[in-house]
Amino acid sequence: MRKNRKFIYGVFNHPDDILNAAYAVRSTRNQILDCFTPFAVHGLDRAMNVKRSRLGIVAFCMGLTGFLLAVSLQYYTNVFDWPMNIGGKPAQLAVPSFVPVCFELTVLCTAYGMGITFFLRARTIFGVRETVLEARQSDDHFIMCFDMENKHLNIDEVTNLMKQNGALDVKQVEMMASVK
Amino acid sequence: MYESPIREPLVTGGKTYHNITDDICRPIENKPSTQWRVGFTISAILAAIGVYSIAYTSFKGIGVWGINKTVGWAWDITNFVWWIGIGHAGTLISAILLLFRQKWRTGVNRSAEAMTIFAVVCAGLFPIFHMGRVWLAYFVLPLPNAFGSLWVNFNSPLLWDVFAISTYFSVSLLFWYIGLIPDIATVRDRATGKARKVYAFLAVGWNGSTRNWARYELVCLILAGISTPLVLSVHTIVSMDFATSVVPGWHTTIFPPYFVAGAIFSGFGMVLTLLLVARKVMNYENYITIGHIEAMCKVIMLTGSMVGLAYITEFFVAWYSGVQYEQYAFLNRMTGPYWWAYWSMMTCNVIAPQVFWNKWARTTPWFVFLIAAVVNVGMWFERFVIIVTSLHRDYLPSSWIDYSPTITEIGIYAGTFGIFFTLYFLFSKYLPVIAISEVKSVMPAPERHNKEVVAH
Repeated sequence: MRKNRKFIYGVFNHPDDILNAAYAVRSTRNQILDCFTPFAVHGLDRAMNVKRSRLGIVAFCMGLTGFLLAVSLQYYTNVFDWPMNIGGKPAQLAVPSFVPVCFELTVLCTAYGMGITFFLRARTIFGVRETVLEARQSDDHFIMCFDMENKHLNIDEVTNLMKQNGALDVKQVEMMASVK
Repeated sequence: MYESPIREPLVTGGKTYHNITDDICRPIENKPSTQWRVGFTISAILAAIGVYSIAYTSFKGIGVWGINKTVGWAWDITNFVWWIGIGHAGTLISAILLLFRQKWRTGVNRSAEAMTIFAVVCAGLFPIFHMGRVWLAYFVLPLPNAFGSLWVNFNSPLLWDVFAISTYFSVSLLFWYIGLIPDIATVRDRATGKARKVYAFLAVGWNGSTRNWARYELVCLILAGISTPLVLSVHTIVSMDFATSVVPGWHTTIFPPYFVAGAIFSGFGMVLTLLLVARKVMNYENYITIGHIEAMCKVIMLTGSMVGLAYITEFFVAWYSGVQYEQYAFLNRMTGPYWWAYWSMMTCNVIAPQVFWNKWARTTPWFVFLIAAVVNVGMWFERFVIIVTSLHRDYLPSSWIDYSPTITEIGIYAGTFGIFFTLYFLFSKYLPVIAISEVKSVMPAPERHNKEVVAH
């Protein structure tokens, strides 16, 4: 996945600056590859036209799986395989008693199903090597990165747009990267 | 970034983003202080006493405890419920306050969540070692018939508890870790040599990409959404361990909300105890401000009042029910052999937190520390009162008996403090104690060279 790539990127020191720059770039034909920020800058994903994550749907499906797992586990063990004889009453789905475990397994499967999907989708997995353009991108700098191999990229235009919006510096770099 | 002209800033001291990174990474990058070494050593010794006491119990059997035929649950379950309750504050701060958009939580959520995880570890030890033959502990899992003639009984609240506690622990751990990833990446980007390799491994390649931040925030929101009912369910189910029995004093429908309020109450007591020390020792007064402390005091006051209301309601209902056994159970709590436990509970839980109506009391750290410690003691007594006083005089007066703990039980309880603080010390040395990225997102943004704001 890691290959040699050429990037041009701007360095900002204020979240509002990078946000303004992202909106400025959006009105041109240029495509931002990605932005790297020390914290979640709200609105930046919208400015970059990042689609809403579908992890919520994953969470729902995983939760449903957990619920069905809990129902079938309890039904199989306590009703089907070894019917519970409580005061001679007929063995059946003891709904109130089964609620807590259904709930817990729903939550457990939602959390881990979604969590693991998140790790895989975000490509943040143990052993993955980080692609860090600037060490301070996790400290106090905000990076806006463009792929120089993109045919539609107008290097002068994006350089100017970034500078106009307060970029401290615009740099070009060639590096081994696993940025999408 | 919008800054409210009315609200006090959540980070004081005119910090910049870089100052925050520096301040919070400093303990990780520097050699441990003498205070840390001393604290860690004491905790480790206590933990060793705990491990010894637990090992002794496992080899000899639970006969080495003070429990008997009448008082079958005592210190063990008291401590279990106490530790579990403490854990609840962490989830309240990280999940419920996230849903309510309470931004002050960002200064305290990381250490509160760590506290949750360590408290649940301590709590879990008690029921596991109370099993006696601990090597058969896997019998509580829904395993096939080959291990015996029966499946586990899903009608039993004790089994619900197995699911609730293990789910709570697993989900809290995941939530905490996902929250830690961006901060570990910050530590990684500053580290060199071996430390960098370790933090790079733990940071799972995080680089703060906007796409990932969007996913990350959604995942945190959903985790908060499911952790909220989860944390309420955990203490509800713990309370059902008691409430579904027919023991006078336990057989009450008020237990679930009463236990949940009590759990949050005691949890905030512990959060304050820990953070008031941590902010002083680690110089985090600008991140855990008086405003944070005041907010937490208000939660203590609210939940303390709820607990007080529950005590009085319970008392009233015991009288109103006309059930003699129930009435005696409550009279015995007040005036029986364990009257001191009952009155300690009442003083510590109902009266003490009421001082927080006073602003001076809420904003004076040493005083808050005192009250928080009192709350912790009071909540321990609450569980002791519920468990031991209800059991020691049951329906059959010929079985009435008193209970006192043995040195082994005391050793295990002290040991859990050791384990808890050992883990907490390790956490405060090797991981960012304050959520760096979250604090940066709620602090006043730095001055800009270009004041112009583009309309979006």
